[in-house]
Amino acid sequence: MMVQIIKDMDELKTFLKAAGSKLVVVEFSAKWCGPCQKICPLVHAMSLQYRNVMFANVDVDDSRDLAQIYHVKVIPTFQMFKKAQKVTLFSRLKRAFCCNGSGIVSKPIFEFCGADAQKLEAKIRELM
Amino acid sequence: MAAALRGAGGRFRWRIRAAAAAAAAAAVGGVRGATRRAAGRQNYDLLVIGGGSGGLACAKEAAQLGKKVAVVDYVEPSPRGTRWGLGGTCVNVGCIPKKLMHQAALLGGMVQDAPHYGWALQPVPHDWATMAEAVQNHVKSLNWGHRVQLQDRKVTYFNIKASFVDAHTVCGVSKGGKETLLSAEHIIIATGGRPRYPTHIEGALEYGITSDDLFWLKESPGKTLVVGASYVALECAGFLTGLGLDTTVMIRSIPLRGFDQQMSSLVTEYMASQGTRFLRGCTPSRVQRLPDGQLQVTWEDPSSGKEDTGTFNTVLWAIGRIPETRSLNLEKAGVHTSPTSQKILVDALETTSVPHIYAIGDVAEGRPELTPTAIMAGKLLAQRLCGQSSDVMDYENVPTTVFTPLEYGCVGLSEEEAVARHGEEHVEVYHAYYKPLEFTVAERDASQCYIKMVCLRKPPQLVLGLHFLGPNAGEVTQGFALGIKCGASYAQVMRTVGIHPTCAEEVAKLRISKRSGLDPTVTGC
Repeated sequence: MMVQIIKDMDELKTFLKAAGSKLVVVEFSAKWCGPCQKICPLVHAMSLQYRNVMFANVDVDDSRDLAQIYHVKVIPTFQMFKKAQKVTLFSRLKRAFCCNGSGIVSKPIFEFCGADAQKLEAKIRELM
Repeated sequence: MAAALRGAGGRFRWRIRAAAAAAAAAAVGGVRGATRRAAGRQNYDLLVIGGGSGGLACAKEAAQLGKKVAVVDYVEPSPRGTRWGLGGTCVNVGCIPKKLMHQAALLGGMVQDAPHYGWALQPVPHDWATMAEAVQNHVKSLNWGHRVQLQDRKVTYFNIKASFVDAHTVCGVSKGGKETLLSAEHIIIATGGRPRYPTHIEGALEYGITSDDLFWLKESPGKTLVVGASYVALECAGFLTGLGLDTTVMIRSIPLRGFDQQMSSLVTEYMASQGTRFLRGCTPSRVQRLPDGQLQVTWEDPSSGKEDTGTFNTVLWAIGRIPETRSLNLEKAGVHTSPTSQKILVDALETTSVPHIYAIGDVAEGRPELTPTAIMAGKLLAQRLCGQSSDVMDYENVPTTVFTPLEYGCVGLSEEEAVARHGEEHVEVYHAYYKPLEFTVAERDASQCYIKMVCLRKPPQLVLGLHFLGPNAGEVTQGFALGIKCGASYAQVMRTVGIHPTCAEEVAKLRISKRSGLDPTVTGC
């Protein structure tokens, strides 16, 4: 599976941890969403092309909690995550207080809504 | 308490008595209630039971005005097993899918018209599955949209089936059986209604479906018998016919009871001209399943005294709707319902027999079964409860449209109602048979395209009701509803310039009265 299906927060945290310092692209989609169906093969193609980027998908109906936590309103929404490269005393303290010491950065660094494949690809190339 | 009594009229003496009793009970319950509230249940300012048109509008408005609000919504599966998400009847099994399927059927008509206008189109078959998937996907996107809106407005949503424990407490059960106790200062009941099954008819429950199921069918219903004369029956039969399905409507007495009967006849006349079969004056007695899977329906024709049978793929019951009050345990809260309709009795402020419990939408007695009135009533109620307004919902001159193949839009009184209220000598009816321009080239039959305006005879001739039968009736009627709300007179209508060429302009051009006996057919420009 080049696009990992993610069902809940635990699975997402595991996925983000496994990504290390790679860019992670999470698509929030739904079965009833026409544009999602259109962009699906394009995302799969990107997952094969950009091997140093991790791709995941969350179905907003199957994983309501996750959709709520990440304030997903429009479908599809693409959120991108990347672990900070620089580790400083400040970032260590911040992580300890903000992320319950989990050490995982689970806030997206970028989000965009809509099924614009070109825009998605351009952003991936910029951030990866 | 004072607010509750203010709205009470002579008809609501029971409410004054009940309110006094409730006040006495509340004094006792207040202390106990406080103790219970401390015991781990969730407490809200406003609890809305029912996440449909009325419930959601009320909840979102109250939350916006700063209240702590919870909505509980639960869809009991239909006897067929059909279920759906947040949004209520309108979104899931009413207005929305209905209008989309009506549009699908209208497009079929346009495909037929197209060659006249130069398009080299052959007659094309219709694929139910494609349409159904598209409609169902749109409905699901609306379910999602409603959930997002509730989150945005910080309204807590529970997908649980609620029932009263006492006047301030509701117990909700989730699909998995988990119980949640919720209490609130104010409770709004907006549980709507569900289609009625004729359980006294053998085979009705086992083999028939209702509108709850029709819009969620993945496969075509095929040859269908629609039983009923409501707008649900006629709208469904209308689009089924338009999609190319063999459709029969069985009507026990009159079509569209409560609507202007002259208009209702024209509606069914048009449907018949388009191929819908009508069995008038008949009632079904039993439904059986044949070995090949088809349904055999037996019915009685009282006029001939004979029994007849027919074979169909689908039997659709559209014989009325019943309010969702049975499983609420309303007695535990002291909320009274009408002994005939089972709907919740309310006053002009939407208050029930219990001062802090309200009911809006289809579940309330005497209210139109329409989304926009439920929404507006819900919003006004929220505003009143938050002390933002003292405005009361005005249920007069509510416009509506029946989306049958030839659409019927109306606002105000029917001709019968106007005559009953004012007397025939005091009522003037202006009318016209017109032909939509689009029908000419397409060689469509416009025999039933008709408009009538019911007015007072006395100058300036206040408009009491407007009735429009024709394409885009909903769009046409909406604008005129504003005119009627503002107290438009026929004199003003006469001075309103029409937009040309449209069907709507024919309303402003009405000049022939029924009383004159002159031919009301519009000719030329």
